[in-house]
Amino acid sequence: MKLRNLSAIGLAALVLAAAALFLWQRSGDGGPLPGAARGTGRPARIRPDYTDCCLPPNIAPINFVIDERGAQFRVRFHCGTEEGFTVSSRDGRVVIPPGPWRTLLAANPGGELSIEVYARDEQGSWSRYEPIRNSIAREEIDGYVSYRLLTPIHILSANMGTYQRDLTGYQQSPILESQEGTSQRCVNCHTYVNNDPETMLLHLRGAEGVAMLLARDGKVRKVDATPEGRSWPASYAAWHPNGEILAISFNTMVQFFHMAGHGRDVFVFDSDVGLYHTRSNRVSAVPAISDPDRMETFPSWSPDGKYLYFSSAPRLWKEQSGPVPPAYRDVKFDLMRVAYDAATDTWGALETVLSASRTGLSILEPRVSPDGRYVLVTLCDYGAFPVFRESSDLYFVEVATGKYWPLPINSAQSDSWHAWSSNGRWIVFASKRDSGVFGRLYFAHVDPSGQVAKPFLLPQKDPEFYDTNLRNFNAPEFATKAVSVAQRAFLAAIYSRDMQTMTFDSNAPGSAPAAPPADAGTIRME
Amino acid sequence: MSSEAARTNHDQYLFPGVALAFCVGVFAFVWRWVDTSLLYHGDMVTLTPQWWIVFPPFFLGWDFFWEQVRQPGGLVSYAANLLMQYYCYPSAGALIVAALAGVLIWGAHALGAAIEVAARRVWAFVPALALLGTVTSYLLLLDAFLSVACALACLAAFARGLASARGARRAVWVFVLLSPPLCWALGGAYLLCALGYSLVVWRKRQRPLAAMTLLSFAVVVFCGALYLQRIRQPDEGFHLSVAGFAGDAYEAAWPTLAGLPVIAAMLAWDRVACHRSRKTPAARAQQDRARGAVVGIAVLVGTSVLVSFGLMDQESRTLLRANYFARTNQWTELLAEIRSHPPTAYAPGLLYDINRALFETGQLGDRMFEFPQDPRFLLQIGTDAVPYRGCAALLLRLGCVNEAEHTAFEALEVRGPRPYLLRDLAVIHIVKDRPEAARVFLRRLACDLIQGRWARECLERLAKDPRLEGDSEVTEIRRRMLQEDRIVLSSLDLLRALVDENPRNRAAFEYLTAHYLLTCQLEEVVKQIPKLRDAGLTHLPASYGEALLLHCELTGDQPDVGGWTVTPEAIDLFRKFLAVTRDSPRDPNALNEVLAGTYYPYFATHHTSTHEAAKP
Repeated sequence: MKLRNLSAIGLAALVLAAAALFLWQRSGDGGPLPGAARGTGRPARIRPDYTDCCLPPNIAPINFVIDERGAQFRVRFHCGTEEGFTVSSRDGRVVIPPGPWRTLLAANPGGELSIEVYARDEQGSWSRYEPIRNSIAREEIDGYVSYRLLTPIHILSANMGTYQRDLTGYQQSPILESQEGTSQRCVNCHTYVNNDPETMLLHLRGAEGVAMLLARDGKVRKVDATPEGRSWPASYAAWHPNGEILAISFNTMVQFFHMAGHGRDVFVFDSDVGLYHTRSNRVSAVPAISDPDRMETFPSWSPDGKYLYFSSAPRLWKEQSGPVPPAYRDVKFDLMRVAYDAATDTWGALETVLSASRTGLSILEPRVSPDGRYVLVTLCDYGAFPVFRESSDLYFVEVATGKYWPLPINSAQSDSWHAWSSNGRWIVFASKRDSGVFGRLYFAHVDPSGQVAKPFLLPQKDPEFYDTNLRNFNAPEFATKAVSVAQRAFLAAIYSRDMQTMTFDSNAPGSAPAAPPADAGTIRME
Repeated sequence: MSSEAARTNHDQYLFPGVALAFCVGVFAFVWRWVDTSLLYHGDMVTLTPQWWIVFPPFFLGWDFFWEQVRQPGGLVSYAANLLMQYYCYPSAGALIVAALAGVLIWGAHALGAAIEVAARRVWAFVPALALLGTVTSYLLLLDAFLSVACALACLAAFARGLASARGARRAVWVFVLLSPPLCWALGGAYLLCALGYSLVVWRKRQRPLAAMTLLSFAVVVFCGALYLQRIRQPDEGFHLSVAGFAGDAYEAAWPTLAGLPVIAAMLAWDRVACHRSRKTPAARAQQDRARGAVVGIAVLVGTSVLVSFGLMDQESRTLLRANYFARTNQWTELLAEIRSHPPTAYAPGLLYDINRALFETGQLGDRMFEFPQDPRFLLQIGTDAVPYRGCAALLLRLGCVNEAEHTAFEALEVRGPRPYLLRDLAVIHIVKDRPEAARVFLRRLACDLIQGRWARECLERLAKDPRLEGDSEVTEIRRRMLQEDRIVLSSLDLLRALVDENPRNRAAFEYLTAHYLLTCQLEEVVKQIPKLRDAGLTHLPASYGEALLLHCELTGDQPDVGGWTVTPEAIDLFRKFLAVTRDSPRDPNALNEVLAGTYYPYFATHHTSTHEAAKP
């Protein structure tokens, strides 16, 4: 036989073998379960901890590593009496085939997912662990989550970005990223209108200025984040449901460091909230909260747009820059709201929803549930930067009664940066519970009565992804669909000379005597 | 022996023999004199203000592999980074350099043979000598030479295909088809391969037009690859300019550009040699060849010696050796190295290491003024400390765990994961009772070829003892670690806090006093003297005594110093100082002549400016 023919046959065999391997992997046929296996009387230890969680029926496979001794493992995934499918592993890394996984979950909303782990030792005898159980929710989770990825940076930053992730799979794509050597900018808080990324805002700090990138209908425009004649740049923002107005906080703050305990901290010298009218590039004040002796931050709209929620605290000092005053530990924010009528652009009375004097803690990052019943907040010992405080925990505040209680899913480390899914049945938050250093995204189911299930970690294709990942996930936002604006459009706006400027109405925020920003450029909001 | 037999003998035995001897010589020289481990430990060492060592990391695993190979030249770069990790072991590093020299000799000889130039056996040594020169100068160019070696090897393989007239066309097509992947794998050295191949086509097949077409094609492929790489980085599309692109192309293609003069010289030499050989009778040719071999070997030996010892950069060697001793805690050796080969300039990183070595050998208070001093580089924190490895290590040694963490994270962000940073961060998080965070750094470090074993062992120990109570390093840092929470404002605040919290923290005490000495705060130095015993010092350090005498002279006070007395020798020196300053006030040369190594010359030249600067 000629060499050429032999080569062709060899190549064909190779392609067929690869195709067979691919199909076999996707089929979920990990081989038969062992007939006789000794029971261990306990569930297998796995990491990440996907046990007793409530999973969305449309979530990507929860790949994991079995932390048990064994020369071979078989894992059966099934619901009830269904046969399900099995996965085989020699090293304990369980990579679940997406096809059978989706089929199993889609067929069993409201059911219970059972994960049976079998391990074979060196002598060839099998052990059977008690099944790991997870419930499958009836309600789907939004298809996408977007977040920032960055190392636990302090001041210098080289690589960071805002990314979106398809929750039904593992595809992560950059919305806007900054890479060492090409660009060294800080890409931060991103905001959508009611989880719809067609209209969105992205903050930017770097050589191209401190700016806001407003994307609408596929077009992006750059707006100087520091309004005309003012010194404080815009930071946290929230879209009014009408998609025309943004509530923005204008902050002047500084990062500082502790000699002992948790190292990083942030001090807010001053902060005000104003309304940015995107069509007219105009910022107007919120008259009820224009008191210069108080600071307001973390604006958030109720889903119907009738209330603006925010955190507010008294200013216990006069300075707007310089050394951090000793009173930094006494700063505690109240949760407040003010009524607003978008049609007439009129404000109502100011209300204290929950005061820091009641909780003894600083109440931050309010996010109202889509049904308007609860405000999900982060409470921490002091200040306005919960991601740096180990004491940060998630709390529900019932709007109707003013009652508040901690979520049962809190950890000893920082739990913050939370957001609601569009159907109000899921929350996502950034937690440092695993290590105290690296923020990871957790998702938890919230039932109609406000009961919160054990959260699960954002699944990854590589079961060992989190073992070596040195980057923080934070500022997550759910999105019902992928951001349609290409990164290139954001970059075109960044490099465009056309930067629009916000103008102020009288008595607008930041109209306090202008002072140089307190090193605002060094803050990297983790 | 016939002429043909002599030539065969030459080809078969003499040339390989000489090449082998050369490689053995390179191995011995690099092993004994250059010492590649200095480079392995030398990441971040500043050799001149414009030149500092950037030692590439390497991690096992697909992620690192893909990150590397997705850019032109990435595959070779990946291989070079892998090989360079073994620079950690001097013998292995020397073996790598010697083996690469061997491949370069073989490849260059193959190029010479393919384009049929005279004296190719001599020219074959040029790239290897260049490699030796760069290694001797402590230039980290292994990736460039590896890419050149690969390019020459590919060229040799392609040139074989052109041997027969029938296979020539197919060989050209194979080259054309393989060009894009080859360009992606080799980067700029691909052009060298293409240039050599074009020369072969030109000279061997007598097809100048085909040769030019091939070369033009190669340039297009190279520029295309470069363009693709640039536009893949989102921001680059907005920075793309002809000048910028040309700069990038020049940077990428420099191995080829460096080879161009060599190839041109080879061709010119060949032209001269051909001209001479036409005039030379056959009988003389053999004699010439024998003489040529002897001359060639002599020239090679002479050039090798010249390159090896002539280019040996003693200053760089001293700085790298000092750094090596600092990184491996060989403090006495560090001081001996600096004393035996004092560098012409003291970079801040070296100042940190010298002071640390003085402290660790119990000489900081006695001998610190034998070396240049700068109060700015006694202790830095935060982003200022990032460029200096010694500073981060010192912070940890002092007990400033949070600031050490701060510095390490800043360095991680700007320098990327480096084995020593991952190790430091793991230790810091173990000390801070965050074993899970430490595990993340250790698992990442476990992918490092050299330090992976330490990381795996540490992970095993952590599994058994999450606090690592049995580890003396961890226990020591925990013992010194600051407990009281205050806001960090400056390095001086840190030192004060350390001493306030633990007066037995000798390192903090000595560095704080050194700070007072360097900022000429004599009163503060004198206040420190009664606390010497608490800090564990058993004698009054010379500089402290000198500061005390200066303080008494300047203020007329006789402070209570807890019973410590200055030695008669110190009083004698002080009298000399008074005499010199009386005769030639503020003449540093006069002071240095008589009182070199004491505090007096430093004080005389610095006390006004630094004392003013130290005032709040």
